Amino acid sequence: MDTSQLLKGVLDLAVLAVVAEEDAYGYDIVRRLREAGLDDVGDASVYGTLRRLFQAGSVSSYVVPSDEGPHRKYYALTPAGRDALATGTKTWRHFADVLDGLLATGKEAA
Amino acid sequence: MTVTSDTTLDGGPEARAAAYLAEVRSHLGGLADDERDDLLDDLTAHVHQVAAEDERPLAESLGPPRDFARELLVAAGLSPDTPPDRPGLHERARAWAAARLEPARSHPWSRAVAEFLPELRPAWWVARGWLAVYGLTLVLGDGTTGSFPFPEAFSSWFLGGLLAAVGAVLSVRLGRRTPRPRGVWVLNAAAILTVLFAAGDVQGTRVVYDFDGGPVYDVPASGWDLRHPDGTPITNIQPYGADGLPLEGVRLFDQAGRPISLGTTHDAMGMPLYEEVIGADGLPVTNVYPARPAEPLVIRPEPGPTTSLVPPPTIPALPPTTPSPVP
Repeated sequence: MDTSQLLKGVLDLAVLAVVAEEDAYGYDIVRRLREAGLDDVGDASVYGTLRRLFQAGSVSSYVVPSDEGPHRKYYALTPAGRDALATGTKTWRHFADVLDGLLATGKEAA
Repeated sequence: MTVTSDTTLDGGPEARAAAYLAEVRSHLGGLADDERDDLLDDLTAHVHQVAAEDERPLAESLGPPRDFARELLVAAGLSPDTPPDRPGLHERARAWAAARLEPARSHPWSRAVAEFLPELRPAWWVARGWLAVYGLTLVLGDGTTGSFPFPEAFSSWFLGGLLAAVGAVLSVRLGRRTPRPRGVWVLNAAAILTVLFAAGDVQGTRVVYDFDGGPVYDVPASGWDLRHPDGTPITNIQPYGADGLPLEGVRLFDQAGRPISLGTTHDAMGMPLYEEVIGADGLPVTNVYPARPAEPLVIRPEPGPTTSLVPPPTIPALPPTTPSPVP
């Protein structure tokens, strides 16, 4: 199954989770998502998602000067983002349970 | 350091990043300037870092700039799943037509028809497969449609029918496939063209529509027995005597005494092309020249083969040495 299709629906949640763990700049977020196992995640998708989360007030940003290159924009979870993460986690758990159940019945039948 | 787009491949990481970003920017045309700058500001550091840590071209590690830009817009919720450009001509034409057709579409009758049409789809699949094979035999054969709807392949009805049946089966298989395979429109178009051609070609006559909008029945060019070496049908004969004057009521026979006729005496509508000449025995005589054209059904603005007489250039009298047939 194409993971990129699945990812579209849950990338918000994944990005929120990564930022909740530790404030991070874009490049770092992409790297940590990939290290966690989301190999297919696109750089552009992450940046687009970050922008949307920022505009929704789920994350805030601050700039940290870097000695090796341009300044880095770090993202941090806001209280609203923490709520969004909690709600999203609940929704995901429910969804995953339902699908697990469906897949288990399908396996028995097959 | 100067940065130009042709340094994408062989320039340093800075140059590669700058060139890539410029390309991405060019694909974000649908955004307001500040919004675009905002998006790109975030990306600048990122693309530079990718370029510094990955030897591969950026179009490979990050994907083509165009795709990158689109993915960015979609993820940011700035664009539906389409490019940010304004809708193409095709979409706009479609939207315009849909708006014009809306009143007709919402009429209960047309809704009833629309509900019923999908049920006819399998029938269409069968028909279009058959028709496409039939059209193919027309294109490959001599182009006559007298046998419609039975195709003739390699001069055989049986083979033609078999091929058409195979075509119908294949067409149904195509039709049942989801999603609709691309290129099916070619098959549909071929079938529709075949129907149009066959409808206009009943009894081997092509219907030509003149500029006044009425159908004009072209005289079939294939029904004439007499032809010039270049293929031009001979549709009438004007005999002239030795004195250079036109003759009337001349009857022509070949070396064996068989009458020489023009061949086609009726048009596609069954109307006689010539005034019928009845002999003393009450039977029609078909080798009297010049044949008198019957009143034409429609005067063609641009005649094809015509039965009416065009006077030849001056006919000089033959020298008097010609032996006279009368003793």
